[in-house]
Amino acid sequence: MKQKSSYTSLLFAFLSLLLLGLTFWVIWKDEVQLRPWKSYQQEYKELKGKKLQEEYDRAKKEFDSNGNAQKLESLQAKLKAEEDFFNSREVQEKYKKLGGQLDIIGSSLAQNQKKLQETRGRFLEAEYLYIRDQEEHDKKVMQQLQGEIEELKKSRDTLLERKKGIEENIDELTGEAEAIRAEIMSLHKGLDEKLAAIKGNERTSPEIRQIHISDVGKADRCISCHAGIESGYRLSEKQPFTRHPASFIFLENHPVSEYGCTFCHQGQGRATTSPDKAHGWVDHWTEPMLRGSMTQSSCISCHGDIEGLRGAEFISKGSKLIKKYGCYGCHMIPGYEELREIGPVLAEVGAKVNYSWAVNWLQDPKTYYEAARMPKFFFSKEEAESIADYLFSMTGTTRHDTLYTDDNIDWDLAEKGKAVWRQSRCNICHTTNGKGGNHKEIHAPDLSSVGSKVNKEWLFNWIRDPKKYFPETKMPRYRFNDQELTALVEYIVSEFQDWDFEPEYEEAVPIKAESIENGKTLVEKYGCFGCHKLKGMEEMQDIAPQLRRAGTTVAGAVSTDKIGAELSSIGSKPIELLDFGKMKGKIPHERLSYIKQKLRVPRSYRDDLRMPDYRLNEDEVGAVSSVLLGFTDISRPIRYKVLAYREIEKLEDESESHILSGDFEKLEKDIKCLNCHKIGNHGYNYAPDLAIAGSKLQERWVRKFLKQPDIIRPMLKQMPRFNLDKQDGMIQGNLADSEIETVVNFFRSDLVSDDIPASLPELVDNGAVDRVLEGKRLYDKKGCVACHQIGNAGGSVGPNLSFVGDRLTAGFVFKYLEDPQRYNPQNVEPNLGLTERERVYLTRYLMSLKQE
Amino acid sequence: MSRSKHSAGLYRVFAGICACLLCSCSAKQEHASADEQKTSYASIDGRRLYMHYCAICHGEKGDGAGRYYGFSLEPKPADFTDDSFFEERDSELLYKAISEGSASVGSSNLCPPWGRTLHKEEVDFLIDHIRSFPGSDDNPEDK
Repeated sequence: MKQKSSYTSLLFAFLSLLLLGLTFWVIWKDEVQLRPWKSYQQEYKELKGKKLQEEYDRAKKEFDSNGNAQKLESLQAKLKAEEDFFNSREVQEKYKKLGGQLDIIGSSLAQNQKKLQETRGRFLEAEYLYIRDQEEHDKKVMQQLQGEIEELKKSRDTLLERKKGIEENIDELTGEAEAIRAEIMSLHKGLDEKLAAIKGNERTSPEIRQIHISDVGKADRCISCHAGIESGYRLSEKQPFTRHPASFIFLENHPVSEYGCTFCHQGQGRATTSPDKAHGWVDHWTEPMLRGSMTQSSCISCHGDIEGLRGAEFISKGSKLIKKYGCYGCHMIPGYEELREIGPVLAEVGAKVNYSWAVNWLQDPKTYYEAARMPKFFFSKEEAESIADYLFSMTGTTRHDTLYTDDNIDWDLAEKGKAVWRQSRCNICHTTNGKGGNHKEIHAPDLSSVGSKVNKEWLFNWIRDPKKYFPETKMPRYRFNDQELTALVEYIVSEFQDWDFEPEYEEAVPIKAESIENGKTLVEKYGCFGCHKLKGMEEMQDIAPQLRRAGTTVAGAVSTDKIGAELSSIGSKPIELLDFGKMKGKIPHERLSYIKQKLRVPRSYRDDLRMPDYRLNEDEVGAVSSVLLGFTDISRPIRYKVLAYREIEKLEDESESHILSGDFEKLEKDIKCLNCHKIGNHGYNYAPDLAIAGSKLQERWVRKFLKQPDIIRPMLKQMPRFNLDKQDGMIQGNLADSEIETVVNFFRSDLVSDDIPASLPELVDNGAVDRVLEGKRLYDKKGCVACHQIGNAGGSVGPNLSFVGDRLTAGFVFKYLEDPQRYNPQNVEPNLGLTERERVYLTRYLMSLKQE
Repeated sequence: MSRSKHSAGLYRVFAGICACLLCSCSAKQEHASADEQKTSYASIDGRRLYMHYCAICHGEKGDGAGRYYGFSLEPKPADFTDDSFFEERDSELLYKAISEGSASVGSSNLCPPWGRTLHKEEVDFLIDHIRSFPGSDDNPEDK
């Protein structure tokens, strides 16, 4: 019995110790371990305190070295003398006496004020009665009261005057001291503020800090650790003490107090117990924190247009890649629905290219040229031949190649064609042997060995009228005559040859029917119609297998889904629904890693996947995934939304937006002005923006230029010549006269801006200043010559200004100089901060530069 | 009999709690991709700004061999791949030269002032970027 009791008490002792230990552990865990923000805030406070102290010390040193200390001392001595004087008995008595008088006057003034109000009330009453009854009696009362009011006013004025007098006397007694105190204060102000900042920092104590944004249901406590995120100081490069990078873009436009952090960065804003939890790097948290450039994917949930958006360069790049590679051909991607197929029409392949070339191209497009946009489908040679057979069967019955060799090339003709090639500036868009292709956004095919690809007849017809073969092509129609065309074609096939090309089918071989059938099946399976228009497959995507968000395939079901998975909410698709297949365990089980892996090696999850390989580099993979990650189910309240340009255009009155119309539209469709120029939000930024061409350019010059473009920019920035009327003088002519009228009329009616003044502002000077000379002096002084050419000297960053007086209007030059980015944010020229006078002088000088 | 049954039940509860604790410890998850994203905005934007505003004269590789400046003029654009260029110039001077123009620091007037066009921080990005040129011959090509 006794033994048993000692056993129980031992157990009891052990358990109570355990309980005690646990209690301490819980307190320690709760107070220290689960509140990492406490120590962070403490550390940040010390960092900030050190910085503030440094700043104070520096300011103090400066203060002392400026001789301010002596000044302060003398001021304090003066103040002391003044105070002594003021505190002397005599002065004090006087001061008190004056104070008493002031009180009396004050109360009299109050009485007077009261009486005045009363009398005014009575006057109004009498006036009312008089107007109503028209009785003489009331009129008399009115007059009497008016008299009283005047009296009261007079006595108030005398009281006020006396008050002023007494106050002046008091000021005489104290005035000097007040002034000195103010001076001491202002002298000390900077230092005092710094001291106050130090004290304020010392007073802060660790606490949970939170930003609550009710309409998106967010409560972010991130600033509990990231205390310096909004700071103006670069206190530390160590997390969590850094400040937000480029806050002039991100935080200025999205203040932390209004947006919080997880709005853009995601993560678990409410968590405070560990950095991993707060950043959302834990199981079952579906939105891990976005860092660095990847954060830009959040822009998509509010901003309609991301291309050109400052701070969104990474997703902008991704978006351009999606357009470049035409991902929307196979996938449903929001915002890209209205874009055209990126590949050419495949209607006359057999009449266009060599069979051997087609087979090579289908197997691996990059063997033809490195920058090919067509992806690799991993077709075997047999499969590639089947597809080629199917395509060739549309226009013929044989596999055939045509080879151009020394025997069948007319070299003299080719030499003539070279001149046409040059004047047409084909190299602006097309690359040949690593040259040209400066206009990066057009994606024209490389022509380095096009002579081994196409046949001459097709090329002739193509250049003569590109739209006939491919209605939506970007290639402009040059107005060459047949001789010029023949020469150009001869030059192209002779100059741009792959001399190692070995055709297999110089002797035509009949195509087998079963191969055609095979090819058709392959074309359907891999969805070539996503990028190419194919005869009989125009509506093909409608019968492609339906791919629901869950990833299950319902074979044969009719739907309007595209061949690839829909991407409109890929950024918030539950991770369980992402099929990691063979890669499970090999890559992080997380959405971003999934998307990236898919883009890197498209068929790595399962063997039977169909997505081809675009061979994107790691940077491009990141850029495209950042866009895809931005397509989420999240719907932001309307107050955060920034509409896309096309949405605004729909809302706006059409006459206000720059939509082409009439003859100009026809001309534009023909020679594709907007391949290089921009009008509003249409077109490209390769050549000058035409949005205000009507106000910017002189009509005479426009006429002359369109007739025969002269040289104002480097070679591949020059406008091509679209017409080469005369066979011998090949540099003759550009647009026809009627077309020039169309352009000029459209400029005049649609592309003008009220912003540009008709004349320069009047300057007040005595006329003795030679404005042109002053302008020239400024031109030299500001170093404009580094970028602009006048005569033979100068750079070619900006346009040649030799005859700018013929080209631009004075109003435009004047306005442009004020802010070169005003009309085109892409402009390189910096704002020189010129005064109005300087701008007038400079404009005068530039306008004096004329050819005649 | 009944007592042993009871303790077995307790045992099970205890084991359950232990299992829970263990699970919560192993709940940490790998997030490799989070580290992949770490390229600072400053460096990316610095490069972009340099390519847009500076490379036309100072060259894409920072060697002063831009394609478009006035070739007949002196002095030539500065060569940022040269170590000694930075030895003589601190960040404060570079900042002044970029934002107020090269003339403001006693050089020629051929590099204009960018301070009204670029933000303070953008100028800082540019300084960081041009400082990265010396010694790095293989700058990634502009894509």
